[in-house]
Amino acid sequence: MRKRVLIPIMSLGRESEVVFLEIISEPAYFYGVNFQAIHKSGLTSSVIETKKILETLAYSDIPASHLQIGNHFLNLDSLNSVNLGLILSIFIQQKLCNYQKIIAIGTIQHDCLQLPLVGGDYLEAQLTSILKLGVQPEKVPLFFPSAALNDIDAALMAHLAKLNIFLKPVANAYQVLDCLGISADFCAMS
Amino acid sequence: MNLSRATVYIPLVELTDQPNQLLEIYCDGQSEWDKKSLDKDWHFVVSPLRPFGLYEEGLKAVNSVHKLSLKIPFWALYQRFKRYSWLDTQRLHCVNILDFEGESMQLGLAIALLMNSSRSPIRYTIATGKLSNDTQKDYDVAVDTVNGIPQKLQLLLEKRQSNALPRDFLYCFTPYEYLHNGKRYPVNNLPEVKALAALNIQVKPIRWLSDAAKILHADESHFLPEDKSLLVSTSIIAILFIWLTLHVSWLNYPIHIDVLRGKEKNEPFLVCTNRDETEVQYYDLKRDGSVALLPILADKNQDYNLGIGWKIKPLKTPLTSLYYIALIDVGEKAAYKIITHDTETQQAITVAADDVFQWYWPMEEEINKTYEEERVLMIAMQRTPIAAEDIYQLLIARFPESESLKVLEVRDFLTTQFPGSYAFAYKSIFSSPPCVKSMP
Repeated sequence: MRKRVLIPIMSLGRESEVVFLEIISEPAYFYGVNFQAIHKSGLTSSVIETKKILETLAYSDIPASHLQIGNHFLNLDSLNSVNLGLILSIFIQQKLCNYQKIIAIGTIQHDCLQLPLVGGDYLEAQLTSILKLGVQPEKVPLFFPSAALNDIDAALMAHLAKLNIFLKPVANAYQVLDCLGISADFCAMS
Repeated sequence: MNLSRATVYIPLVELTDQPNQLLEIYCDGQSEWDKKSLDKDWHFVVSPLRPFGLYEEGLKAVNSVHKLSLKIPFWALYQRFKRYSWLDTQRLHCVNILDFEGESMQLGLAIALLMNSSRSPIRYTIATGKLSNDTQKDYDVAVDTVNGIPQKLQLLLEKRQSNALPRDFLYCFTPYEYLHNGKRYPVNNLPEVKALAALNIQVKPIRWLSDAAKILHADESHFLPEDKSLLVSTSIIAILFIWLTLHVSWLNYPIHIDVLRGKEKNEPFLVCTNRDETEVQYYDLKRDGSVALLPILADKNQDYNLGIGWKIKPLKTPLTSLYYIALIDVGEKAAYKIITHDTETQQAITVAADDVFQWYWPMEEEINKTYEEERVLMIAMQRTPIAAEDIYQLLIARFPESESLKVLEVRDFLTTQFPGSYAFAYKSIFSSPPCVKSMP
């Protein structure tokens, strides 16, 4: 089934607005992750990082998935790392994961064994742009670094909840897998 | 008219330093730009639009069609493995030479892609509109309004009247609403819509790109040449595989062998003939407990021949009328004796299905080299000719000569090697056969 991961990123154009990089994930016929379609979209470094993260996670049952970009931007080359979005695009195809759409904010530090999730400098702008997505027909989890939880205004959280968008604060990549229902029930507690 | 490609006319008005005109774009599967695109890392589908300043608009159209996606025909095997090849093999071209940046051509570019990559029977259409990623639909793209829609429809009227458009019936896709003094009004209310309808141009205001795809019957991708090649090669491989499987199944389909009565029992029997074989006598083999006993001559200077004989009837199996036979006698000391061809005619021993086969294996030549021992007589059948040497090599490979021969193991092994077999274990003993007294 086609599923989507949306990554709010700051555009580098003159207007400097938040745009959504959209990664479409589809189940693949063969084992492994097919990155071929996104290699040429300026995400080469993020793909390399994602492969390293997968190695560190050492998860035995990586779902066969085919990733592609849903919307090309001309200045993708200068994007910051979107490895969290790519990891989510892969594991969203896991049988246990019922989400159809996920929003991802933050970057996984791939060179650290704990694979911590770190945020950027413009979280508020990202969250505000997410509000523009409107009411979602199904529950949409919003993954973001748990360290940034205190920076989020309670009213904003309530507004997001009204739009059917639920916050999923996570500290590292392992908790991301938990949240997708793949290993533990960490997210139920958070 | 070129039916091999999809053409879209886009009315452009309010151009700076240029008169209002129709932009003609088309989509087909070829471009001399591919090599350059590869070098420059440009998007293949839209790189031919670069000289016209439409690269960015083209990219947006590609993204939109990509998002909408098309159904893949069941037998389009190549497309199933190479995702979006129906889109990646398209190339957008522009006919008019002008450098114009405008969002109003995004819808036209997307429609050209949809028409050419799908089974849409429509080859020509008109479109104006802007594509916007609306958040309410995950896999669709909203069509936004653009400036000057009434003027654009007016331009179409002029072009139709001056025969600058194909004479056929044409659809004209527009946004659902047009802007007038900052307010939005339905396009259908414009008087030009009726005027165009009278000239065989139907204006179709749409809210979503998928609406255009439905009207154009562009919901399923067409068969690519790669699909055809892959289907043909896959079919050939499948046919060969099926043929091979059926052939192997046919070769190995079990052959049931009925053992007919010799004297009283349904098993091999003792045969006695006089020297010129004018008189034949049959005797059931005696048994010591459960072991059948074959008396081997005590005296080689007898006046008769002695042997073991049998009558069998292989039953008919599908597509088979003839079976090839191998007769194998195995003794721990006497080793293997294999007969596959008639010693006189050198013809392969065969039997027709449902026919009775009887054979008499004379023992006289074995007088000096036979032993009292357990032996197995085996009748093996298959549908292709059998060579004694092949069976011998098979047995030598499985049971090396250096090892002592276990006849029952040999029997079990040979049983697995042939689709039809009958094995009879017996013991050869030195004693006078019952025929001695009665033979002349």
